[in-house]
Amino acid sequence: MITEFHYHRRDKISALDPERPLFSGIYVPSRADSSTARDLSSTLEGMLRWADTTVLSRVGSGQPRVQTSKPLPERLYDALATVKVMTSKISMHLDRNWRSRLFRRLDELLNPEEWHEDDPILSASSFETYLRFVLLVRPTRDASLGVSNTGNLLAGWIDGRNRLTMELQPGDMVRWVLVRYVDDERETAAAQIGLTRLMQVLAPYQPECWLSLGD
Amino acid sequence: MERDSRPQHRYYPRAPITEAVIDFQFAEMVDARVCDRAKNRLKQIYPNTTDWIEYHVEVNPQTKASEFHERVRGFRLSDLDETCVVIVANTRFAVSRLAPYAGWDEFRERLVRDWKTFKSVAGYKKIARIGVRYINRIDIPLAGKPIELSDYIRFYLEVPQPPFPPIDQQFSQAVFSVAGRKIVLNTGTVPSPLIGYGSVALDIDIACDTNVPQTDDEILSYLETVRDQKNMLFEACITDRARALFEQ
Repeated sequence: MITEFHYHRRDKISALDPERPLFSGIYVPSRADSSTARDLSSTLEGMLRWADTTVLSRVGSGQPRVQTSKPLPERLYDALATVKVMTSKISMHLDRNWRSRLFRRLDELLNPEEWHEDDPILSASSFETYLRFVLLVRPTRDASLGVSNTGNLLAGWIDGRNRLTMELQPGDMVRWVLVRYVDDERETAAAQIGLTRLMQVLAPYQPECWLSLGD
Repeated sequence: MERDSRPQHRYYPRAPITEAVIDFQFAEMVDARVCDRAKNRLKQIYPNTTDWIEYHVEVNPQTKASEFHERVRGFRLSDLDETCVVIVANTRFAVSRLAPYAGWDEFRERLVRDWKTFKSVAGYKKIARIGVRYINRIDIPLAGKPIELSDYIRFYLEVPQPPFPPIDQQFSQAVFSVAGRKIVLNTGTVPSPLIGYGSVALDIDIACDTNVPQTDDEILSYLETVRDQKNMLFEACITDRARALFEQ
């Protein structure tokens, strides 16, 4: 039985959102009037409701986790919890030590004592792009993490005088800027592209020096 | 030497379990103050706490009125990594483990420890239902071509191709009753978190709501049999090619 997994469909919906139901993409058929149609719709809705509401991590109080009206420490706590749950969804593909180090850096990054009231909170959809970048590229060197003034995650790597900084944007987009010394000559480059083309575009700058690529 | 008749359990370094849940539902409501005290005890282990409220919504199409009924009220507690979760509520007590799954022994020990803590505050509460649910997500590399689901799983929807084109999306549910247990099996395609992969969820839920075990020994013994059963069902639902994905 052939099954096609379309990129366009996957791109539209977040696979890592902790609040998103497991089978939310399933369609309920068009409305019809017969009792059989009603029975079928009702059964299908019941199945989906069951499949999507009985799991602990997915059911909340009905409120979005990150609300601007909440005090800053609570918003930071919610953002931290959200990105950790997102990471857990793919943690079978991550090295355990790498994951622990990531969590330590996130704890530091979203520490209320280091945060100003006006700073934007880390966007979950930007963090999703980071996780997809990690799974696609498999960098073994840890990045320094920050948050941009629009709430996107910033990841930076330094190797001597060579620097690479990425802004992970929602929807698998990356804006990057680099400084690379070749034969003592300084080169700079910047671009905004989709994740799938990232390594192709970075290849001439030998990104291994920052990312130490591995499995 | 006597042979162990119990099934052997396979260990997978990259187990596809995204969540494991053991859920006790009570025959009678637990007092809110009891839940609060249990939360305070468990908070030593699970420092992150949020309120846990489940609503039931009734909509009357004739009067266009809707009513919200609070069905469950309690707390969700989690550890610093947000992977170990406990729900203490007026109708239920549940422990959950998100990925990475650390194995049955760790999960059972947590249940025993946290249940003991809950009971030290709440005393005996009659259990009306015990549910064990394992949600797996199998991430399959696309390698530039459509996936033949039968290469990976053995429980899926089958339609004649042609005339039907390849399936974009599918969801199947089967319900079985075996020796007083209700087994619900869900499978379906789900969005993959990985670029260049397709994912299939395999969700196994085993529940018991008649002759429900009540003592700790009965509960643990019952859970061991459920463990055997859910592992057997999981292994029956997957192929060697899927197993290879979890062993890489």
